[in-house]
Amino acid sequence: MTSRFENIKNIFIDSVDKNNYVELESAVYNYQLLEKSLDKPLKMILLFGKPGTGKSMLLNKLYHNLKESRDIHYFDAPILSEKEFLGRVYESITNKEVPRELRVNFDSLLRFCQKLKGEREIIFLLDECQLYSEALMEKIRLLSDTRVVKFIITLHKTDNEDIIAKQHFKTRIWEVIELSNASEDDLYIYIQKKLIKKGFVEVANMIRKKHIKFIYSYTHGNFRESNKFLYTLFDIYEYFDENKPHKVSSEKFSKKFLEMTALKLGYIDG
Amino acid sequence: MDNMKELEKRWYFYKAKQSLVFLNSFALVGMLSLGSYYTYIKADVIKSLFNEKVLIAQAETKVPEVVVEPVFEEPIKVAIPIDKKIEEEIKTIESSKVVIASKNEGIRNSYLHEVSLEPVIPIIDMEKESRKSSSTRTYKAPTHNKTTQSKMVKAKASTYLTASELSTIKHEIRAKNAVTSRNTENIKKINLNGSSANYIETMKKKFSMSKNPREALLLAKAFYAKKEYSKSEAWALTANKLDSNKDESWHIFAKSKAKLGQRDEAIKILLSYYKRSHSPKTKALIVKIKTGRL
Repeated sequence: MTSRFENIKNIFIDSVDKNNYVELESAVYNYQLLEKSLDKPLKMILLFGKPGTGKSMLLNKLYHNLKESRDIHYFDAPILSEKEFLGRVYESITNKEVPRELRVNFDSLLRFCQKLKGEREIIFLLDECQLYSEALMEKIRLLSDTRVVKFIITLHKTDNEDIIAKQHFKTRIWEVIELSNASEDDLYIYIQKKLIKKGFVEVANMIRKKHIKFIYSYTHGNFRESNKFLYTLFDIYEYFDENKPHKVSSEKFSKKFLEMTALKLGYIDG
Repeated sequence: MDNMKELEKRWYFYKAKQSLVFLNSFALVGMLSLGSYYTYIKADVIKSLFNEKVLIAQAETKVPEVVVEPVFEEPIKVAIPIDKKIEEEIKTIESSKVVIASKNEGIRNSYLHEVSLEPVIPIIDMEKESRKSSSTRTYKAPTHNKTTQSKMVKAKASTYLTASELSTIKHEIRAKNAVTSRNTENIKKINLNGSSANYIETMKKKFSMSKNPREALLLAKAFYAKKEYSKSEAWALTANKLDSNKDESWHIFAKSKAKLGQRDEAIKILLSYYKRSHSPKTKALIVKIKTGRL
């Protein structure tokens, strides 16, 4: 017999899936901002934020919501080879495959895009753009200059980020949407909604604000970190449920398990 | 599974450690409160001592009234108990500043300490004082006069120089000045740099300790001077991260980029910074890079 906690922990596996999208106040605001930006005559839109702030999720959500109504294409993983990238762009625009022995000529692609002016407006969603080379980013910019192709790109804001590069980007991109970590209240709603959505209402009711405060003190509201914390927490729950069920209360959330999680993830020293 | 057991053990250890910390802090708080209680008690003792002193004083002031009272046929033998120690303490404290005169006058006065407080009047020998003050005046005056006198050179007719004497003196002064200027030049030429590798290592250590943008900038400059442009670029970037308002971090970053063959990139970066700063140095550097004079 499998423990119910096995299913609960799986809710918190970090994956970019539109079904896992939780509508928080801040996320809804950012989504609306992004959707509005699409209607503006912008060439490039930058989604900027630390890892785990929901950039990919937002991009994914946008793609699934608009794929029926707009000419939108999503590159969820970065394409590092220039040949492959141009090939994928060409295929997305023309719906034709590039023969294996041939490669797309960038100038021709540019001219092709220019010819489509006034006829089509194509949107490309590019995730993890910090991995693209500078030369490729330059080509992306030139493509966006045609005003036929619009790019929405996500960029990690890390501690070692290149500030000057960011400055350099800002002169070219017309809209920058910066995503940040969730607040303590947002994190509470996020966990509650996730659990209730999958039918674990009684577990959701067990979680109190003080437990969220504990989790928040270590994860600072970062979605990826919080998911990792909750996954580990319910993994511990699963073990005790299967091996020492007398230690698992069905009414109270265990502080011991919370602390064990923090220990396991190295947030506190044992 | 073993992992979980291990984790639980770690948790027990963590809890034990936590309770130990709690106990320690509890003990500390206890000790502190005991200490403060003890000081409070001591303060109370001091207060009571002070009160006793006040009582003595009160008793002394009340005595005349008792003496005048005609009801007493016999002088009162019972005295207000005065702690001998306190008495001594009062005496020792006050004897340094005031003269205590206590007189025992008969049985009535056995409990009455007539304490008269007489201020010690310092006797000043005015004549001596005047002598002293005059001597200090005469001591100071000559030193002052000497210095002023040494500075003042009275021109006498006999000390005027002839034209030839004047020219020789001028020549001597010029020669003297030349020597001193040469000395100062020599001082300027002292090499303070040491070995560059040592300098860079020292600066790196310094930077790792302080995280000061100035050190990062100095490192960037050092690498740039050594023509290690990729390193100078990286250090300029570090300096810029810490303080993006430093002109030099932008300049060295752009100069390194230009040296690495990324001229256009360097100009773009400088232009974006110039828009913000309007720094004439930045403008000059842009022109320099554009014209290839770097």
